[in-house]
Amino acid sequence: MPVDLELVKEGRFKPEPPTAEELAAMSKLDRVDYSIYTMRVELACRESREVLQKLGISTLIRAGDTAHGVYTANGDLSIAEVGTYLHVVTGIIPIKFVLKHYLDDPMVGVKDGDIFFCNEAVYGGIHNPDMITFMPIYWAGRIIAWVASASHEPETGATEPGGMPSTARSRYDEGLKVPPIKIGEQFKLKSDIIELFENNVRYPLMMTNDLAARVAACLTLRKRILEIVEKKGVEFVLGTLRKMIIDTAESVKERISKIPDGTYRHVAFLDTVGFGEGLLRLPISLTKKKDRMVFDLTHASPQTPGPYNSFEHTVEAVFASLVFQYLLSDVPASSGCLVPFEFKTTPGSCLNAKQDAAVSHVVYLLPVVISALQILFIKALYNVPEYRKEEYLALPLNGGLRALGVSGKNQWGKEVTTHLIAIGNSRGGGARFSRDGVDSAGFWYCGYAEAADCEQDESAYPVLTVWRSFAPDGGGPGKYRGGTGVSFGYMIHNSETISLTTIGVGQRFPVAHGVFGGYPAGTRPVVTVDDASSLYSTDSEVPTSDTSLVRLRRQDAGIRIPPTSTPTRAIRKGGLVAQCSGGGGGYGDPIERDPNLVLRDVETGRVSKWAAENVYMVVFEQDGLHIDGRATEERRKIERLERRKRGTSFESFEREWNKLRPPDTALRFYGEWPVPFPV
Amino acid sequence: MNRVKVTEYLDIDFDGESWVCNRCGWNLGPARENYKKGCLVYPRDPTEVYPQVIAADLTFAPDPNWCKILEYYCPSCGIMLECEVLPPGHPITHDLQIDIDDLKSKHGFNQPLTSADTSQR
Repeated sequence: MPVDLELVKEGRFKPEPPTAEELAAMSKLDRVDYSIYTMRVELACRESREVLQKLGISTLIRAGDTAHGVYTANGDLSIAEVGTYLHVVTGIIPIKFVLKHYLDDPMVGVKDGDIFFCNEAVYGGIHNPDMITFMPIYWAGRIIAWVASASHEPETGATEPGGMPSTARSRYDEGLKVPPIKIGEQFKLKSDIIELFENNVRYPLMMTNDLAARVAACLTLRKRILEIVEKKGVEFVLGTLRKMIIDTAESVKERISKIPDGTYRHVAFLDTVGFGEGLLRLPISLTKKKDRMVFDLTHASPQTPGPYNSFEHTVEAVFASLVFQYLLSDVPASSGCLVPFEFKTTPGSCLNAKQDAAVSHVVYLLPVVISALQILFIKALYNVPEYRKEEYLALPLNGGLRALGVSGKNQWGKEVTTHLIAIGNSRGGGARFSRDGVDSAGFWYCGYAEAADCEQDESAYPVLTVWRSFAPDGGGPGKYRGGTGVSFGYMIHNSETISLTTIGVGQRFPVAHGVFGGYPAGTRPVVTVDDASSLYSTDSEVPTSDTSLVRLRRQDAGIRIPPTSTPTRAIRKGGLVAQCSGGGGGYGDPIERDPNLVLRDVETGRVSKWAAENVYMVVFEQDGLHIDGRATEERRKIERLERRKRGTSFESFEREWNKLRPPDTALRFYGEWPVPFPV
Repeated sequence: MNRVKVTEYLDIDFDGESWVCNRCGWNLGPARENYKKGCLVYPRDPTEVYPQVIAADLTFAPDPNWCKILEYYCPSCGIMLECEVLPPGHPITHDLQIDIDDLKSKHGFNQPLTSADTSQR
């Protein structure tokens, strides 16, 4: 395979050395102008996002799963807007690839007005539904910067609709994969390339429309950068773009330096490989020394035979997505942010897979392990009094992503394919240092993303939203509880049959862990009903959530609980599928939670009465509406005594614990059992 | 006593170089070792924390055959200092290995500690 491995290896996300011209330009920058115009560029990125969201038709673009960035002339990310940062990080290598291989190639070349495209993971991307469009900015006959617009498209012509086939066994099952390629000249898309794209996907209208929308977003951003060049001069722009990268690197190093040296460890697990269930081991250790951090992920499970694999560089890109939202949320997102960090993975593992591996579910795999990194940051940052703030000590949004794809003829007779994205974008936020996580907070990769309105789904796709409700006990219990996710019920209507795909992790094993005695968020199944019409055609109780659906015990309706990741199958008119977005992890011992907060949670449906009594250990008065404060205090004292009785010493516990082993069915993709943690 | 808070429930006492429960002052052992060695441990069945709702292979709770929640308690006051979710038999995580000498240096061990540094009960 003709891939430039040198370019995709870990270090190339990091910035190139500054040129003499950039250094000279930096030395002449006025501090006030620098501050004003870096913000102006960021606002221009946000303007481009508005352009893309208004022109795009993919449900994910409309929900905000987009990113826009400005890069230096040599491809380093300088300034980006809040969005799915992952996408702008993955623009770095394709731009560097074009500069290295095509700039001097007379058969390709790079000229003013050229438009490039890439959606290929082995060339620096993530997975092929993530599509990036990028353009050079020329001034006086030479490249002075690049701009990029990226988004997720829920269709790639894979073996299953939606671009993320759970049955994929290799890259050849995953559909259209395009390395960095020129798709337009003189500011216009090429007709033959559009024909090529449309010929390879199930929803050609969306492919072409959104491609053009990304070009419009790039052109908007390019125009704004050129306005600054005209006003302030090209030297100012070159200096500003480079200074932003150098400044952020120094700022991040300074922040890290304040943390005590040491090693912090956590281990996460995944419970599926797509076509089948099984545990994957994902241990991670963080070693901090002076102003550097090294992340050791060398003991991860072997490469899987399904799509739950990652390339080495993807781990770093997803890491960037996390730190831009938490550890470095107040630092501009640039290549400079990645300077102090080093990653170690083992070739042949699921985190450093071979090039022919299926990787389309990498976006489900990596949030689980990278969320563990946030727990390590919380443990490391807690040592520094000035970092004991909720913006730093916050567990991430639930990383056990879920998706529900539908494909077929819609109620208007058009072929459509999409993911009902509200499920992915309504995940509970993790609990924080001083308060609860946010209920229905957003998307793991993009806290800013919105859950699409019911009406938006229903107007374009043959589904009826029969409920949207907070999922009781969805957030991890704790002194501060994790934010709650949302339960969704969709019924198929106005179409005789459509294809349904459910994707997800965290069914048998929790993935959103807690910290400092906070419990992980619970797990939640997918529930399907063959024919739900009878459930909604009587005067009796109707289901308003996944739990109430199964509690009705209407087996005659054909209620089923399949694995969360299930290959595409047909679902008929009247069929129903319930899917739930997960909650965030908890912070602190649940029996330290303010009883009044527990009562509020019960009243608002965030916590069940059962959990209030059995997990939070509160006692209700006889009316069931108020907390008995004295009885609760006594109940919690008794619980502390009971813990001391039932707990055993570490040494004797470990002796017996080490004799245990999960069932063989859980270990079929695991690799060697058990493997010691990296030291 | 020169102590700094390093987690919600754990302090490190520089004088004795030991882990200390900051709710009750119990000494949990040497600060250069795993604090979990000084805790009481209990393997919680996850269905005791999350209702299963239905009796089936896949339920609304994690699978107790695939995972347990290991709860670490202070032997003196019974606070849950930490918990972790592991497959049965998986090696226990040594999660905090702080460089005590660097921690001392960062907190100016030989100088009076600020109120922000000291334990908050």
